[in-house]
Amino acid sequence: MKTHHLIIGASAGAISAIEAIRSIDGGRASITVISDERPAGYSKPMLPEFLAGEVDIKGILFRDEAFWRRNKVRLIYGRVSELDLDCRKAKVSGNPSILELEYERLLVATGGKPIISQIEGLENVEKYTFTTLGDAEGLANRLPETSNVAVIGGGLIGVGLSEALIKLGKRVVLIELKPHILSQVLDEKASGILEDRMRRAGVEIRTGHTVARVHWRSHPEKPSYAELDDGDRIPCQQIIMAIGVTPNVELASKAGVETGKGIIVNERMETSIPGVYACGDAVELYDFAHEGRRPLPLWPVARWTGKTAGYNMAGSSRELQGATSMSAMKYFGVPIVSVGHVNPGSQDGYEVEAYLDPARRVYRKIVIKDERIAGFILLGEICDAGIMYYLMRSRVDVRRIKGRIPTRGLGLAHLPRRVRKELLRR
Amino acid sequence: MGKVYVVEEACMGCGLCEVYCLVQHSSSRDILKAYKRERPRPISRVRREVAHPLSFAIQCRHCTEAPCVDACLTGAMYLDEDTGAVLHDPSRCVGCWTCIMVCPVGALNMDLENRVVAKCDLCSLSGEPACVANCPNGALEYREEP
Repeated sequence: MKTHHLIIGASAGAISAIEAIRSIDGGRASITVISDERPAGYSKPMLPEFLAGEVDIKGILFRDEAFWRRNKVRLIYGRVSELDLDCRKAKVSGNPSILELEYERLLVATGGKPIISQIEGLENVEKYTFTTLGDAEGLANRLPETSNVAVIGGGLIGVGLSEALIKLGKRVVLIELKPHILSQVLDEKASGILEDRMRRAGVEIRTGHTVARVHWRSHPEKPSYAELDDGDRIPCQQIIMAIGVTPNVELASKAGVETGKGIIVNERMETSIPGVYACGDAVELYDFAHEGRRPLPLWPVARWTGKTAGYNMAGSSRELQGATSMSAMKYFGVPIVSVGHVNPGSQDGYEVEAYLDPARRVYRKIVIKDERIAGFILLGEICDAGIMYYLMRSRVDVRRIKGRIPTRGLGLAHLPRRVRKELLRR
Repeated sequence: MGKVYVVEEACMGCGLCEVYCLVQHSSSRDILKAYKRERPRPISRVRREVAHPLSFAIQCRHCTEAPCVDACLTGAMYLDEDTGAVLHDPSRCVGCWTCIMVCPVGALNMDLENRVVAKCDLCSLSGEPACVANCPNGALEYREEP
């Protein structure tokens, strides 16, 4: 069977690529999508809401079933077992048949996979991660007979999962190796405020520790307790490992695509092999705030890289000049935005302006380098986050306004006249 | 589709645009009830900015390639294909604030009671938006081109 565009994966990046292709080709070229998850096209960031029962299976779909039909996409549920980039062929193990596909353009949108830490007693750990709808459904099924859950990892996945479990009335112990939760996106003050809020909501937070081993009541269904590295025992009937995700590069790498931490792509999302593109959580990108290449497994970045790939696959040149880490959060009712380089420490050339008002639970911090914004954390008051992100992306000189940003906030009225006029004309 | 453009020189910073926007997006459409009684509280989708002597009103620019539509985690924020307006479906919104993080003009408001975002819907395209119609000094104009 022949297809013009073959897309492996069916999440944010794939959807964005399809929309970009169709926005210029009017439905002419054939598109085939291989999804190893069913249903295709759901929103991964909404998994905590799904677990908590706030959205159902229809509500978690980012694009509904009609999307694939409307865009004339052939959606195949299955897994690519062989990839021959020289002959532009892929073998798909579907259920039940095996299919051979010939393509012109390939998009590898294979996403990320959970990072697994080797813990004694937790060898068959795939069952105990929280990155897919299948994981969420599995956990939901095991929850009725569960009162205590241990969550390993205080990152975005672990904190979101903890909140969902608290909403369901479970007792949660969150175990984080670093001294603070969300250490990649927050600083000590911001995570301190959130930790305080979480403790009051009932989460027990154990920072600076890791799980040494897991003891089972009935292996592998039901743990009895998790033993920390200091010997402390945490009774639990479920344990979830939520350390993060790493690019899922196996398929591409085995087929001969150049990879580093993720699949290596240029500004047009082309890989080292002509005709082969990649996007989303599977790739590594230039992070313009941290000034280096790294994976950025974030929904908006997956959408932007997917869109860029789609335009180029359809023959319209588009470039994405890097991206950076960016997270908007609402955990336990505390609005937080974190963008870029937020913890420069004593690194040379960085300047920090910060403001803390504990009574109103407001904390705002900007990190400046060469009079440009390199990163920021806004907690409590976040409405000007987008303006700051724009100034950061556009490398606008902020020497005259940086002083006011943490305390008094930022409006278009405070921007240089040229920038304001440009934004108001949009 | 038209958009709302600001005439900075004409704006006095009176804030009536905010008042009428809030009333327009209330359920009673009554100014007293909207401000005093309604729960959850209705929210203005236009923001008045004042930095004397400068003042102007700003609302969603309905960008052609809107960053908020690209960034939205749920699909609640969408481009209305027929009109070109950027619209928001609160029933699909989970209040994650990702759109706020990427809006270059800061035009999105938080509706904390309903835990969703509130944004300009161009009064859902039934002619001149309320902010424009009620601006006493002609500082807001509804037109096709900038």
